[in-house]
Amino acid sequence: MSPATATASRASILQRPAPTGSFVGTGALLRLALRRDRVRIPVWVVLSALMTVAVAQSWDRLYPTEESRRALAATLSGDPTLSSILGPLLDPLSTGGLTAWRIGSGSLLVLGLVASFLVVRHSRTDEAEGRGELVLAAPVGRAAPLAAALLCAAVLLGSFAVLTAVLLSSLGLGVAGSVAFAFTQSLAAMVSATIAGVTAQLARSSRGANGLAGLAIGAAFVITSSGNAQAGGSPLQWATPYGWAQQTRAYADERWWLLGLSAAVAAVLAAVALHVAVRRDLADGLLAQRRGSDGAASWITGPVALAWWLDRTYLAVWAIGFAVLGAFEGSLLTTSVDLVAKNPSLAEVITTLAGGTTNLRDAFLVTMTGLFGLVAAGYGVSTALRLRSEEVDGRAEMVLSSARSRTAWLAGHGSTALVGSTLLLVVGGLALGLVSGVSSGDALAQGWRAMVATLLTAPPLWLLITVVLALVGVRPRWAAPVGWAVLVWCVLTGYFGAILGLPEWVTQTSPFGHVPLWPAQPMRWLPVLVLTAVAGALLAVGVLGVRRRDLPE
Amino acid sequence: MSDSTPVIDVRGLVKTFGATSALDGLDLTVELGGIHGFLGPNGAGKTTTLRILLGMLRADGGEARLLGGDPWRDGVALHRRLAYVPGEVALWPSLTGGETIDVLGRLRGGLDPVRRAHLLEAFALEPTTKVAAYSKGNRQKVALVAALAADVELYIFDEPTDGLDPLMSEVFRDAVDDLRSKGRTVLLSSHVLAEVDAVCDRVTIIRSGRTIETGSLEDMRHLQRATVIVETEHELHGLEDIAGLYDVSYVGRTLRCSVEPSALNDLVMHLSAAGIRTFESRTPTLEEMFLRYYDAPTP
Repeated sequence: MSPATATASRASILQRPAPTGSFVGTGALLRLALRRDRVRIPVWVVLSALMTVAVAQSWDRLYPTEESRRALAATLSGDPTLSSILGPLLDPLSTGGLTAWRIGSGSLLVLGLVASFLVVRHSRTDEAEGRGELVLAAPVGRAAPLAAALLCAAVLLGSFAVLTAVLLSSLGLGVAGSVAFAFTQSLAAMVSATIAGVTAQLARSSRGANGLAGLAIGAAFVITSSGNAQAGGSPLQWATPYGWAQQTRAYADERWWLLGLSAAVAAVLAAVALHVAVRRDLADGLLAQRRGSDGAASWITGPVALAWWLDRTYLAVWAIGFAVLGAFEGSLLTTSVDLVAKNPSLAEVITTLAGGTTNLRDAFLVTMTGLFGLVAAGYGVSTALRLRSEEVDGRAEMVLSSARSRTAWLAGHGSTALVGSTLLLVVGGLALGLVSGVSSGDALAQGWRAMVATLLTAPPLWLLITVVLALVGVRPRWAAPVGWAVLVWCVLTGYFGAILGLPEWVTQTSPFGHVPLWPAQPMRWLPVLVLTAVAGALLAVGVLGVRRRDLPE
Repeated sequence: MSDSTPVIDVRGLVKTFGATSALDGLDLTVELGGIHGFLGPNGAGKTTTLRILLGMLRADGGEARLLGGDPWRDGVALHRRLAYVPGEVALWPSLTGGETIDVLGRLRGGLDPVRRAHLLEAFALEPTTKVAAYSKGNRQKVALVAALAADVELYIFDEPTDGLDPLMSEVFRDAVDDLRSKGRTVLLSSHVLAEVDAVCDRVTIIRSGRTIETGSLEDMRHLQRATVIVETEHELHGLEDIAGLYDVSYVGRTLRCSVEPSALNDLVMHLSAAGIRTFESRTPTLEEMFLRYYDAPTP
C-alpha cells in the first residue's frame, strides 16, 4: 500500500457511521475500574490534598510577619526557574494566594500525569493486552471502555477538588478562593486526562499513548513557562489550560469564567476521542502501523546491544526534552542575571542563598542544575525497572535460556539507565551553558562549565538507579514500589523541604541533598566519592543477587 | 559426552515456592537421540522442571544434569548447545519478527541463514511485521523458527503447538521428524496427546511433582490393560474366576471388558470354550492411558 492510500484509509475511519448504543455498559465498566483502582485512587487523592494543606499550613508558621513575607516573595520571585514555572505571584500577604502560587504548577503536572496514565490504563492497555476483546464481546458499546476510563479520572479529580476545597476552607483561607483553586486544578488536570483519551486512539500501545500524552502535557508546560519568563507577561501565558489555571487568580479576584473554558476544552477533547473510539477497529490506532526490517542489525549480538536498541526512542525523546529544558534554563539565566543585577537588595538575597558567592550567574546556575539530576532520575528509575517488566512479562526467559549470562542480562537495561541518564545530564548542562553564553560570546566555556556543574548531580542519580538494580537482585518484588517511593521522597525533600520547614537532617536523607554546589561554592569531593562508592556497592549487590536467585521469580 | 550418558538426568528433584510444593522427588532421564514426551496435567511441575534444567530456578533438593553439566553453574556454556521455546512466548513488541529471530539466534551463538529462510517459508511467517501486530500463533512461530534454525544437540519445547493451526502443527511435526533423523534429542512437553503419540519415542508422565511412569510408548502400551470386545456362540460362564478383568459388561452374548496383560491367556481359554464369533482387541490410546493414571488416587 502506498503512503497516500494508507493515509486515506486512516482518515476514512472518521467517516464511518456511528453505531447505536455506543455507551451501553459504561456504568458497569466504571464500577470495574473503580474496583481495580480502589487503593490507587484514594492514595493519590489523599496524598495530593494533604500535600496542598501541608504547604498552606507552613506559611504562617515559617513566615509570620509581613516583613518576612515580603522578603520571602522577593527570594522566590528572584529564582528565575521558579517564577517562570509558577507564574506571577499576586499578593505575598495572602496565605491562600501564596499556597496556590507555590504548589499550583507542580501539583497540576502530577495530577495531570496521574489522570492521563489512569485513562490509558483503563482504555488502551486493556485493549492492547486483549482484555478489551473480552469486554466488547459482551453487550457493551464501543465507546463504553473509554467513557468509563474518562469518568474514572473524573472521579479521582472530583474527589481531589472537593477534599482540597473543604480542607483549605477549614484552614480559614477563604471559601471562594479555595473552591476556585481546587476546581481549577481538577479541571486543568481533566484536560490532561482527555488528551490521553485522544492519544489512546492514536497509538496502538499503552507506552505510545502515555508517551504522546506526556509530550503534549510537557509541551503545554513549556509554552506557559516561556510566557511567564517574559517581562510584563505574554500571550503565551494564555495559550494553554495550564496558563489559564495560573490566570484564574485564586484568592485574588477570581476569574471564574476560566473554569468554564477548561471544562469546555476537556469536553471537546473527550468528544473527539469518543468519536474516533466508536469508529475505529478493535486494537487499531489512527497512527499507521509501520513495517520494519526483516532482520536485525549485525551489531545486536547480546543483551546490552539489544537493550540500547529497544530503549533508543525513549532515550532520544528524553534527550530532546533535556535539550529544550537546558536551552530554556540557559535563556532564563541570561535575562535573570541582567534583571537582578539592577536590584542590589535582591542580588544580595540570591547570593546568600547560593552560599555566599559573589557571582550572580553561578548562584543561578546551581539552582538550575539541581533540577536536571531529579528529572533524569525519572528516566533512570523507569528504565532500570524495565528489567523487572522483562522478567514479569517473560521476555527475560528468552534471553536467559540463550548463551548469555545473568550479569549480561542485568547489564542490558542497567546500562541504558546508568549511562543514558548521565548522557541526559551532559545534554541538559551543555544546552544550558551554550545558550546562556551566546550573548556574552563565551558559549563554549559556559557550556563546559554548566555541563560539569550538572554532572555533579550524577552520583546521587546513580545511587537511585542502583537502589533499583540492587532490589532487582535481592528483593525483585520491591524494586518498583521502593524505586518510585525513593524518587518521590527526593523530589519532596528537594523541592518542598524548605517551604514545609523540614529540618536539615530530613532533607539530608536525600542523596541529592549532598550535591556540591560548585561553582557557587568551593568544590567538595568527599560527597561525590562517597555517593559513587555507595552506588558501586549497590550495583555489586544487584549483580550478586541476580546470579543467585530464581529468575524468573 | 559419551553415548551412554543421558542427555538429561534428573533424580529426586525437589522445588518449593513458599508453602507450595512444585516438585516432590521428580525423576526424568532423556537418552541421546529421539523424541522424549513430557506429560502431565496443569500444575504438575513440567515448566518448573524445564526452568530448573535451564538454570533459571535453583533446585531445593535432588540432582539435575543436562548435557553432562550442572544447569545452574554452567548454564551459559550449556545453553550454546540447546534451543528452547517456552510455553508462553513473550517477545519485544517493538521489534519485527525477523529482527526477533536474529536477536534470539545470536544470543544463542548464531543461526543458519539457509534454515532460517526455509523455516520462514514453511511456517508462512512475514518477517517485516512488528511483533505487537502478530497473533499468538504467529508469536509462537517466531520462537519456533528461532529455535529450529539453530544447529544444536538438544531442543526443548514447552507446549510448542499451543496456538498453532493444524497445518502449522504438521509443519512443526515434520521439523521434529527431521531433527530425529539427524540424531538430535528433543524434549517435548505437551498437552496434545495425539501429537505425543505420533512423534514421541519415549514418554515420561508426571503428576503433582512426581514421575509416575516412564518408558517407550510401545512398552507402556503392553503393560496396560487392553480393551476386548467379543461375541460368543454360547453363554459364557465362570468369568468371575479370572483375576484381572475390569469394567465387565455381558449383554446378549457380547462381552466388553478391560484385561490385564497377565489375564489375557485365561480369558481366551474361557472364550474359546464358549466359541468365538467375533473378536476385537485394542491397546489403549495414550489418551486412555493418561486418563487412567490421573483418575487413580494420588500416590
